[in-house]
Amino acid sequence: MNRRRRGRSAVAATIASVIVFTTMLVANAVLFSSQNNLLPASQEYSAQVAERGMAGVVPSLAAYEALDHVQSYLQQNPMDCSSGPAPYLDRLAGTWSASGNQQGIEFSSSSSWGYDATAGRTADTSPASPLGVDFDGFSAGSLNVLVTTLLNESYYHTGGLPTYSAQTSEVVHLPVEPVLEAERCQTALSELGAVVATLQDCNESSLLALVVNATGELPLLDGYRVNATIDGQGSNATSAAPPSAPTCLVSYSVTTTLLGIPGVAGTFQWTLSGSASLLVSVADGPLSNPS
Amino acid sequence: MRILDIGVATSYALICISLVSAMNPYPAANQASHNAADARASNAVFGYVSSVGLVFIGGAPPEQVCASLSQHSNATMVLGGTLDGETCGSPPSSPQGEYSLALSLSGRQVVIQAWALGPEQET
Repeated sequence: MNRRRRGRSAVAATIASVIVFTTMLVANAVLFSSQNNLLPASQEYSAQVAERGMAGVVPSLAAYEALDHVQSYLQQNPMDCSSGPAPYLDRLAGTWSASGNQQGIEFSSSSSWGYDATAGRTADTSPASPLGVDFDGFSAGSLNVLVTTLLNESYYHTGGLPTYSAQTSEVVHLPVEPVLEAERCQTALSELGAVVATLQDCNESSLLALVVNATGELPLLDGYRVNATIDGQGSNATSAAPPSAPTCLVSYSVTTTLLGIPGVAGTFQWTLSGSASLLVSVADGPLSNPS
Repeated sequence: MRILDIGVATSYALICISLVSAMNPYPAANQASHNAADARASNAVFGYVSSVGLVFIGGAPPEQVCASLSQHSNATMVLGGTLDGETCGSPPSSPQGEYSLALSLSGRQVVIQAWALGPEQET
């Protein structure tokens, strides 16, 4: 009897231990499975967050490069205001590209920019990662640059997923007014031309006195370095009466340099200049040539 | 019979214990937590860049940028970086997550880093 009882107890203990260990194994398996399901989701989430962050920075980097390029161009290339600002501003266009691996995010980006002459803009979407208050967005009259960026991203570790692609367009600007400055330069050149047209004697000293006097009297010219030289003298053979009016060919120019312009890479300076020549009918005849 | 019974039970127990040891859920849980912390760190880096702007990062004196990084740090996130070889901010011991962003701005080489602290490391 006792042996049978002990036997049944042993079987019951075995069954109980099997149940306990099986329960423990199943519970652990469920926990293991759930954590392993969570792992790729967390990895994908982390990649998505990084890709979204990159998508904000890369277009701003492109905008930074665009303004850096424009700033360098302005500093190294004076504008000739004689012919208007359009050809000069068209040469500000450029491109930039970048690619690489940023902590598991493979990205490639290409951007292009050009002078944005669009008038009448009152608002512009702000970039996700701004350059700074002096440069973000469209500013009426300023040197506005439209930057278009194409970005492709993929997560290196999970066979390329998740991926992110976007094309953005944003306007940034440098706090300098190219059209206004060009107009001022042209106006200064016109004013100097009007002064030169009153030349009475075709000699350098008369011309110098005329220009110096004009520089003091005309406020706009006061902000410019002016230059005028006599290139030649002769007579106007086409004039009917008097038949040979004495003339004087004068070349003149104005130059101004804007200093301390805020730029993305520190302050910079920009030079504008304009030049022209004028055939002036003078009161006195040409100086006699001793030879 | 009893010996057989004990043997079967013991074998089954050993098999179960082995399987439990092999299917350890904690590495996956730790890695998932690490991934979430990496996401927080990347958010902190991009948030910092968005907050101060690229012009400041590329043009301000290194000590100003370092001070700015320190100001943007908090109890759960430490920000630091390297500017033209000069390092500012030190990583905490055993951060739960981290992220770094390398930039080249007008010739200045910049690395902005963030280290996310775990609950037990929060200051």
